[in-house]
Amino acid sequence: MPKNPGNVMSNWLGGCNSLLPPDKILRGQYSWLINGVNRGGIVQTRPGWDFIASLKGENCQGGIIFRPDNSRSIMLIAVDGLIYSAQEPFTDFMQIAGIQFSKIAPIITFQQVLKNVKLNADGTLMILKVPVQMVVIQDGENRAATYDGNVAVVQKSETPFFGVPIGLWMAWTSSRLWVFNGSRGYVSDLASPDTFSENTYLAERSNFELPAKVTGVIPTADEKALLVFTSTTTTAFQSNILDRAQWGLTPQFQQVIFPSIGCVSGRSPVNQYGLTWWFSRAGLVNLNAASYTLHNSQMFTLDGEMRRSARLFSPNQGTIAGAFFENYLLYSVPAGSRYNEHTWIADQSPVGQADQGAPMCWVGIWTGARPVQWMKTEIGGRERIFFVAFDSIFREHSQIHIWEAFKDDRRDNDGRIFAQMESAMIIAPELQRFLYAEIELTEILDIVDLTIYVGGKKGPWYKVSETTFQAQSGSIGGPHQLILEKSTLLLAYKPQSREYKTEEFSSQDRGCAGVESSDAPGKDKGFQLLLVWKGRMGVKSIKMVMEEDASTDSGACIPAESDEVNILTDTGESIAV
Amino acid sequence: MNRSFQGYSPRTHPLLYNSLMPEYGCEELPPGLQVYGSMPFAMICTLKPTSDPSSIFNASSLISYTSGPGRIGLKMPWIRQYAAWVATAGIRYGAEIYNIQLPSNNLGGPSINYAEPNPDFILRGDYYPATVTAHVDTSFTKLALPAIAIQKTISTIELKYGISKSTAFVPPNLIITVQVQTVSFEGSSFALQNNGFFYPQDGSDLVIYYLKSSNRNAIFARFERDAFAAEYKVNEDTPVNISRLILSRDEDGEQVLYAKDDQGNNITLRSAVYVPLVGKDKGTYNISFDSGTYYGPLRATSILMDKTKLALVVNNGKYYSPIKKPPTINEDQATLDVSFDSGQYT
Repeated sequence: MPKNPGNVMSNWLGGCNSLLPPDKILRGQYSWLINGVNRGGIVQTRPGWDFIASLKGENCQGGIIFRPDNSRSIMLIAVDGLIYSAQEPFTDFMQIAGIQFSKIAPIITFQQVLKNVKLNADGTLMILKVPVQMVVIQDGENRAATYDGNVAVVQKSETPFFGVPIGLWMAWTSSRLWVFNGSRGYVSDLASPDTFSENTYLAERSNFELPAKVTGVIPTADEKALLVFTSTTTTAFQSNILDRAQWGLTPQFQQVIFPSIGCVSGRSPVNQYGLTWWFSRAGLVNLNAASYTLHNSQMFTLDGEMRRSARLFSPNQGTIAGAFFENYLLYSVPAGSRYNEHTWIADQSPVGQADQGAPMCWVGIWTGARPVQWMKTEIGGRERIFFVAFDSIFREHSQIHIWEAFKDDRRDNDGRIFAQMESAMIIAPELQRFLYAEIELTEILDIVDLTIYVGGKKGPWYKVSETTFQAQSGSIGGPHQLILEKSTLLLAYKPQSREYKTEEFSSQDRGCAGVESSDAPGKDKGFQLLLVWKGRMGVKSIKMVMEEDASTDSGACIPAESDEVNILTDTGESIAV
Repeated sequence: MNRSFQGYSPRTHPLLYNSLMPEYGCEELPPGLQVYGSMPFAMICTLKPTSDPSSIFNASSLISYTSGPGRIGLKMPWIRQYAAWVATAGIRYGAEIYNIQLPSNNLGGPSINYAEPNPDFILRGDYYPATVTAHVDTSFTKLALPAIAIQKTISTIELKYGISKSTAFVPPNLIITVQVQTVSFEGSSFALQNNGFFYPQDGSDLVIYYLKSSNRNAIFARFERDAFAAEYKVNEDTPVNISRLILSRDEDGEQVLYAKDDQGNNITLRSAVYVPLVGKDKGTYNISFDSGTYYGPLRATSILMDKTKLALVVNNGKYYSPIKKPPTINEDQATLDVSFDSGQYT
């Protein structure tokens, strides 16, 4: 039979799609990707993670990076109710004296604020000569604390102190600190985040009531409103109205805007440039999607493509932690575990060219560590992103580790990253024999181990090839060019490319037909490839070559399976009983 | 997220990866580093064999190095290196001897009749001056006295360890004579270590880990505090067939066993929260909480070394509870009978 000239899949700008079966997705999409990115339409190993430090303890409760005035950035991490701080480069942590929170609280929250005004004992206000950057810390049970990089102060909310009341979720917007405790919200004095006295002196509202316990809070990207979530509702406050006296006079100052969309995790709300994202019970939504849902009869979530991970979610999704970095949107989720085993990656602009639109796509999942909270900061004019994780592996007697993400060497702690890509499925109307695949590989650097599997519409993955690539990393001037002249240019070795073909597929030694089909291995009406690799490598295109099987054009008498026991494992392996 | 909203069931291909795998050299062979939180040696890693002669996995079973006291009988910290090796006529022994090339008959002294010039002392003890064996390992007891284990026969391990010492000054030398106890038991391939390096204040002691040919998926141990009379099954149903233990040592405060599997691959077994002393991975504890209900799994349990506390590691922390009556630990400890002081459980 004539060979199929080959179906080519490439230019994976459509990203990952695990909502639809692999034979239904577009060729510019792939079925699943672990530890990769698809920027520029090339699937390649993700940026690396570097281990920074560990912290002793059992319960990792959160963290933040903030920059006090005229000082280096400080990372604060909450472990077992204690707060530890470390100046950049965040390797040497010291416990902050004088403050202690609940050891068993699942979450401790941090909010950076700016204090401009001081409340005097007589109720008058004094403008500070130098505004003070500080962080407010809460656990929902114990007194709040503030920390300015030097001194921690336990807050007393009672008269005459009027300090920060006990709460959990907080937001700093329009020069006020909003604190929510249960279903009740409190708002600080203007420009004074650690005093809550205005309601006393101005006889205005002392607090706001929400429909239920608050589960998260975030100012909108334009800072015009504050979104306050319960598990099933979203309420907006017109927080940009500075004059407290106007709040009671302003129509709909507090308004439930999405009565059926709430938030399941207080660390999930993220403002990425102009849009607010958060995790609802139904999945990931943003303001646009929620507004659409409000006026339609369908719940419009934006994470259907990640269903393969979402189906493994823990019942408790309160640990979901979001962040964004450049055009990437990251959500660490408790998939297959109570901990955030998967980090979902969306690329808002996989093309990012000036002359093209840049539709968002889901990239896939990243694994390797279990982020509890993501933390961004700017160091030396460069934005960097860190996370504190509760990892499965102990290091330095602890599972609580600080990592830095998005390292451009595409190595984890100087080790090779395991990655996996499952392609879309090339289908045919008639039964085909899979012959071989031709893969255009790129961005190969150092040692890469690659294993290739093929799978039909039915049955397991069959290994069709295993190889190792060697692409020297380093630069001229290294051990391969020992003599340098004054005029020698030191050039880094370029990542390399390979055209790689698998062997011709043979059904020998691959067992019998499985429970799903009587066809021999390698015969099906559609095939997809699974690439598993270790190291730094990219995939530019995949060509699948098949030929039509001659034995397809006749009917068949297929007996009923009523007396059979047919077992198929999650990996597609048949088990004969 | 309701799972019934899933459209199709994908054909998976598990990718077990942890970013710390390279840290432990565990990236070579799938599935890399596996974590078994309920086992004393919780982290198990399979690596490709290496031909590097300096690799710990290629260490000779005829040479053993260990840290020991500056002078026999002195308390920790132990920073002096001692060695025992199988020379032509028997096992020889000495301090501050490095890079031994067998047979090195002229180094050290017959075990143990060893004269050391600096500081001047002569160590004497009835160990193995004339025994040639296929495997030797040495360490020190709680009293900082030498211990030497050998493979006596293919299925028998013999251990000689000091139980007391006497000192006499015979000018110009201080002579330290060690009284030696001998035990032997069924086992093959072993590793000897004083894990007092981890908790020197807690009365931990000399431990010998070993294998049995009848069960290659278990690691057994005996402890000095029991006079090596009691056998403990430390790890059970270990997911690799261990054919040989190479050595045991502390690394970054964790206890690590280096071993080989039956395919010749290198294996590391690494402890996690606790040093595996008497914990049994499949012990059964009946646990109730003073209020509320806990639905999460138990991540680890362990009897602390002084046998006075039971430690539980659950999802939100690590808890200790005093035990009124020290548990009796024996071979069949599917159920461990412990009782708690009332009101002290968190």
